[in-house]
Amino acid sequence: MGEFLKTILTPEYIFTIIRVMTPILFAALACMVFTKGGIDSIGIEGIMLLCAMAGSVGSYFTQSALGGIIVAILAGIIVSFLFGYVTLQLKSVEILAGIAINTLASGLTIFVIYYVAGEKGSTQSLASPTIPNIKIPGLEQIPILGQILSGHNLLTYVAIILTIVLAFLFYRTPLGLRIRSIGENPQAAASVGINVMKYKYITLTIAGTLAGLGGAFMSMGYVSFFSKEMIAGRGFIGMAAEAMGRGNPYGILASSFLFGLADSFAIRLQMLKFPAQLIQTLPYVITIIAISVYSYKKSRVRRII
Amino acid sequence: MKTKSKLSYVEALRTCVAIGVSLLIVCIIVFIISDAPILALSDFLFGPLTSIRRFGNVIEASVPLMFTGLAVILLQRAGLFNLAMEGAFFIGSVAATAVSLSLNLPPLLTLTCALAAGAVAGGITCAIPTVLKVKCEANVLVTSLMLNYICLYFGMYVIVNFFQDPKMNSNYSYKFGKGVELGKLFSKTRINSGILICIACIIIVWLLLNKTSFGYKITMVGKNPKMAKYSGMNIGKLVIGSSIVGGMIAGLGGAVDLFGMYQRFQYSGLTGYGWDGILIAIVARQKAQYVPFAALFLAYMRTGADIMSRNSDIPSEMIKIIQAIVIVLISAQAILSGYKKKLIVQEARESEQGA
Amino acid sequence: MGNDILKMDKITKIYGNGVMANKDVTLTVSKGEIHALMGENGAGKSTLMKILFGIEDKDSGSIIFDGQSIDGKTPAEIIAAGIGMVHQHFMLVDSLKVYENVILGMEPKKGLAINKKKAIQLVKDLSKKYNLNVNPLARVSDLSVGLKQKVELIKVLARNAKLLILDEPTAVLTPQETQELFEQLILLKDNGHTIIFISHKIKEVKRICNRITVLRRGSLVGTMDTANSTEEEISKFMVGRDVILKMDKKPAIFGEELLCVRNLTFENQNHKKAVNNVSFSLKKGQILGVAGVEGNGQNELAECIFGFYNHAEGEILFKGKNLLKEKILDIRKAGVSYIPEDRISTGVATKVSVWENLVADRIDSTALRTKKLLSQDKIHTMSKKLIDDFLILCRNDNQEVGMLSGGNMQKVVVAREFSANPDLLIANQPTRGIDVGANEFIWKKIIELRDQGKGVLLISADLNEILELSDSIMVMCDGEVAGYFEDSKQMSEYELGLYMLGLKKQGSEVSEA
Repeated sequence: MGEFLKTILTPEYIFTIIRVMTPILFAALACMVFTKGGIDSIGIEGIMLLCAMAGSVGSYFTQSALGGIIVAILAGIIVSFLFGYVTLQLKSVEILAGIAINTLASGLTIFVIYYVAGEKGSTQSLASPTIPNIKIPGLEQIPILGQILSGHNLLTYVAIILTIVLAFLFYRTPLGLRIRSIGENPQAAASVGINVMKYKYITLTIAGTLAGLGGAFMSMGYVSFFSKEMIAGRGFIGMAAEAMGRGNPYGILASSFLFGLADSFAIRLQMLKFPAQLIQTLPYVITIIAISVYSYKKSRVRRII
Repeated sequence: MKTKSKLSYVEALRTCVAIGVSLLIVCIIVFIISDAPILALSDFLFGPLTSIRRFGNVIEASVPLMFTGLAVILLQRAGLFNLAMEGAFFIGSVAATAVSLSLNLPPLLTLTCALAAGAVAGGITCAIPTVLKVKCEANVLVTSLMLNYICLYFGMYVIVNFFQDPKMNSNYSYKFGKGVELGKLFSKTRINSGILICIACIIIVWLLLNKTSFGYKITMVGKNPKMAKYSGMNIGKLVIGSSIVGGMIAGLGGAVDLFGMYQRFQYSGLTGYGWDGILIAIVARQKAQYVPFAALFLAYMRTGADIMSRNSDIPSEMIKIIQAIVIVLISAQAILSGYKKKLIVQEARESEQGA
Repeated sequence: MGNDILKMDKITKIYGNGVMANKDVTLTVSKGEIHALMGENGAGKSTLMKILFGIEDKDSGSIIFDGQSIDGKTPAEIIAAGIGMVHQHFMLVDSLKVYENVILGMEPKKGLAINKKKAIQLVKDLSKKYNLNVNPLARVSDLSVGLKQKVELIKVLARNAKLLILDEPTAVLTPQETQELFEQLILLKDNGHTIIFISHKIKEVKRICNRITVLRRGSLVGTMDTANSTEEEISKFMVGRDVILKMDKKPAIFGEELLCVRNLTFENQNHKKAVNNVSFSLKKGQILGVAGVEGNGQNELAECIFGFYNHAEGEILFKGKNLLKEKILDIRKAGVSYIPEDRISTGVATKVSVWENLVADRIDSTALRTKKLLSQDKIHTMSKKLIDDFLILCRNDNQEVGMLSGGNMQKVVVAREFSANPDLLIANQPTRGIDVGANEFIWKKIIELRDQGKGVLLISADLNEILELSDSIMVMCDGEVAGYFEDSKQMSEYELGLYMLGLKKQGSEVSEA
């Protein structure tokens, strides 16, 4: 037990949590943007997968990490636009279109890397530059805090900064206000002359960028190559984290952290011969409970008819 | 004689257009990418017909798809987007494994109990998101997605900690007892008696939806819940009921897959059949009687893609591209909407002029 | 005229299904006046204003605002030109704060961010100037209906609207809030704004409007100065009868009491008493007409009796049993049928076939089964008989109900509800929006039911219908019973109109036989 506590109550552990939380945070933020714009976010999983592949392949061809990130972001925006076209112009059902994107991503990613890398499972054979970890001078020297906060991947810092940026965007800028209005009540927005379609596409662009960064992190930061199905449900967890965070960027940061915690906790718990799989169910169980409680409270107010 | 209106043909037409367009896109991709496109395409389109074993593969592959297709039809009949069929399939398999390895009854009885256990586990799983929706207004989409992962990890927990065969990898269970299996029906293939259970389910679901007041009611709830309530229907009960039945079919599908195709539990993760079920339900236009066709269609293309990938340089994952395009195009209301509008105006005029 | 701020000239609009919403309507509004646009539901007021505001296209005619043509402009351009509309159903984003709703689309900036200070100040300034006191930082979802309306007014004024259109603004307000609104409108008028006030409440219109334009069935019936017109004259313009149908009725033979409603009270989502202490009784063999302009509680009354809500108070005694907390299924089983006001949202499932709609209330009946399973034969035999008996015009019983005309759709509802053999039929606007033939048919069926000794509660905003069919009449106004008249033949439509429009009211007792 002492051994176990030793591994939990260390700065390295919290460092791991932050690392594990990064892709979830990107996914959750992307879901948040979709939701604010009134769009269903079930397709984020697929978009991130495509972006992870695009990042890895892109960085190989441009032989630079930055090139990879740019390609990943572009992929995110293009796929989001495709999703937008299919749901807004072709009027497909959003949830179905999202599921279709997930299926498409599943197949298309394997397809592409087969041609680029010659393998079907991963791009390990490719020499693609990765995104570096950054040591923050000054911070690094501080005991404990330095160990927790310094040395993370560049995109981890980007994710946290973007959380703050998005909070500012949505709650303090005209653009954010307009996106929130078209998401919640497009008629009200149209009645004051706002072009709903234009803002839907802006929403898609922002979300696509976030998904792109999340995907790039997975294949160029978390690990150094793309492998099939590597998003492994983080897109869906992002949806849950967004729901638990009640659509607020800081709440989402907190719930993403919670998921990261549960994830790394499970691995640690194996030391205690605690069944790892049961612990792995925890984040999902907690989400269901949290959502049920929250929805129940909300419905009480309206429970007249 | 009941005459079918032209309008229902628009939906069928849209399905055909969707399938046609997606096949066309794939043909184009193959032509661009492959060194021997004609060969690859002929493998894809005709490969499954070239041998009994291969055609058998098509039938085998269609069985789990039929189960999940039926499950999705039921789960979404009452209007909710419950996606827990993926987890239900998995946990059905786990429950069946657990029961079959724990009971010491004659094989046929063990098998029956195990299959039943699978159904029960699936039913409970899919009921949870719906119950939470009815009692707490909780978002069914998110809770059902979460439940899939809970099923996965909890199921793995059960297998690894209680039924794991120490001689094999961690997710492999002990072999099932002698005779606890769904016997092979045709030599040279792996088609097993599970398909009979599947056909029985199709018939039962068809009867349920078309010949019982329960089926009628859940359909009405899905079409107009306000009107259903006004007509005296108990919406909460109906919605939960349809989830339970749908979940039971998904769980049963998992159990059937287990005993029909394997000799021990060996899934390493969620199977993905649940998601395929959505495509099946869409192509079958939510009708139980078309599920076999939709399932065979997808299974055929999967097998064809498999064969093609073995003999050429096109990966079998290409089939997923087709799936995605088909889902999107079929549900795209804007396609053929102009034609549909014309038909609507025509019909309205006709009905004014007399029956 | 040089002093006109708005001229809508010879506006005509025909909807896709042939309904003539506006027919050659010419509306002129003078600068700085409060001009009332009156008419009953379906008269064409909303359509006319939607055309003005750019939400709907017109088929012919022209619109000149402030000396310039505004034909074919988008809502954004119309707003920029100086016209603002306060819609009947609020166009507010609930989760946003008041100031955010007001500045949406025209946000004052400070660098990249919204200049919150300036925005709040804008709201405060307008509040002060026009006496529209709202807390700029309050969340809209927390506001009362009256306050939400103030936000809508501030929104419109913030965009420098010279002409304000208010669509039924007092429909959801309490008397006190109405008083406040009127003071604000007069203030606005004094400040040079012009107001178009859409309403059907004569008393209110008389209080603050300078002139009145009345529409009826798509056409302009007249424009008059308020000062020179009495309430009675205005009333006549609005509810003037266009008699098309007359019914021959045998004299009524009332039996014993069938339905007794006592002190029924129901509070809606906005905490307004939609049904306020209503008591009445209905006997066998009686058609009790409930007259009233829509929105005065008749809907809620019908829905309370039929079991839609679970938190009404009072008593609903039917054949001796209290129906107040019962479920709809049990109420139907007890012998009550209901033709709902909105057939499309509640009466039928439009994407489903005729036969599926016809059996909706009786699908559990063993009469439709053979050996525990539904028998298509029995079902279709029954539905075909209903189609014949009720003269439903459709290709066959498989046709999608949404394809039928309004009258035939209503006949599907009527067929189902009548064939359930009820002891009490509640009919809520049963002939609204349907053709004459279907209208006459349904009326005949209602009288037939009454002659069989059953009871009918007929709710209608159509005075013609009330007077032709009812044996006795009850008028509802503002959720209360304004009057009860045992013998409908003693009443004239003019008299009834006065009660309906809140100009007259019987004591607070209801006379019972």
